[in-house]
Amino acid sequence: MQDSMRDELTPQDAARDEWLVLGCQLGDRDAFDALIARWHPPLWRYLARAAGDADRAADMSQDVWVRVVSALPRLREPAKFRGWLFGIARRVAMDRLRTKYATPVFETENLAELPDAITADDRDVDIERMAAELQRLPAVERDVLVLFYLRELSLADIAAATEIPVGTVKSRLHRARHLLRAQMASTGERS
Amino acid sequence: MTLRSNAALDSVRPSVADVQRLAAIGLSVRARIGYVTLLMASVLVATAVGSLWATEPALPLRTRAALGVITLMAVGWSVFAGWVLRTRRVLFGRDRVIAARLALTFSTVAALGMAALGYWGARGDAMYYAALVNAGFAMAAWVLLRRARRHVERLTARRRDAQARMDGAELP
Repeated sequence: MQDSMRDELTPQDAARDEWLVLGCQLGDRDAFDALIARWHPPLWRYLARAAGDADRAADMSQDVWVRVVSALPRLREPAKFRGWLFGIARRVAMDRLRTKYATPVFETENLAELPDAITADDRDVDIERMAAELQRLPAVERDVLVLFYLRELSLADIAAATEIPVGTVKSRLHRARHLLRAQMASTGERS
Repeated sequence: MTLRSNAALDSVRPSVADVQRLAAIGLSVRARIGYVTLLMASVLVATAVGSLWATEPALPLRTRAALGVITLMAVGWSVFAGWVLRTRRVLFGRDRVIAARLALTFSTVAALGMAALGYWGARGDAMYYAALVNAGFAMAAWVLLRRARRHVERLTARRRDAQARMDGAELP
């Protein structure tokens, strides 16, 4: 599968993230402020969808940033900051939402049958009805779907954050959209 | 598709400014240097009192017991300060240089001071032993200072490279 999010993730974005992370590792306070300004809103959107509860998400986001500040000097590859950050966020979410994440995962898709590339158009779906449905998805599928629709992460970043291969990200994304579509269809029929 | 459709979940909390304030507390240089100072002071007490404890078997039992307790307390504080600096108040590149400089100065002064006490004062053997241990710490601090400087140089060079790529990407 091609990682075709390049229209959204430019080399300039990647270089700027790397520049900020290296500034933080040197101990530059301004770099920390800029990094937080850049990444706190998408991080919040992810945690809010993972928790489905604003108070819990607020608590988790503070926890994530405390961990990021403590662990940043040990990040060896600043260019991989995005995946690393969302990996921490995901672990915090898993820790706090143990029961939601305890649902077993079944990898049933045949990777060869999945479309070869995911394009930016794939992210243009109406989420107005989707917000409530998202909460009914199993946690692992919702994770991948929310990270994808943040528009901030490449598939490689999502794979790093979720600690699974890119192919598995693709299959979970496929299954999540499938489940979501089925849920939305059944909700539509009932209403 | 956007993820901005749910008002309750889209009002970012805590705000960016709140998180920046939270991070500023964790990034306080004063707190870091405070723990570095605590580490060095407790190591100094542990080596000085521990040397007396180990090299003066003729002291009364109560005195030896008190010296042992003080040494254990100093070791406890050293372990605590070390743990905080590894997990809670971690040292960033430039902090490491400052901390290593402090450690080098502190250990050198302590080694010379204890050697002087051994030469002119009482308890010569104990003080010489403590001076030797602190001289060892001074050498370790010197190695750490060199490593910290190299680390800062590497980070700075990589940052310049990232800056160049940012500037290059801005060109048409």
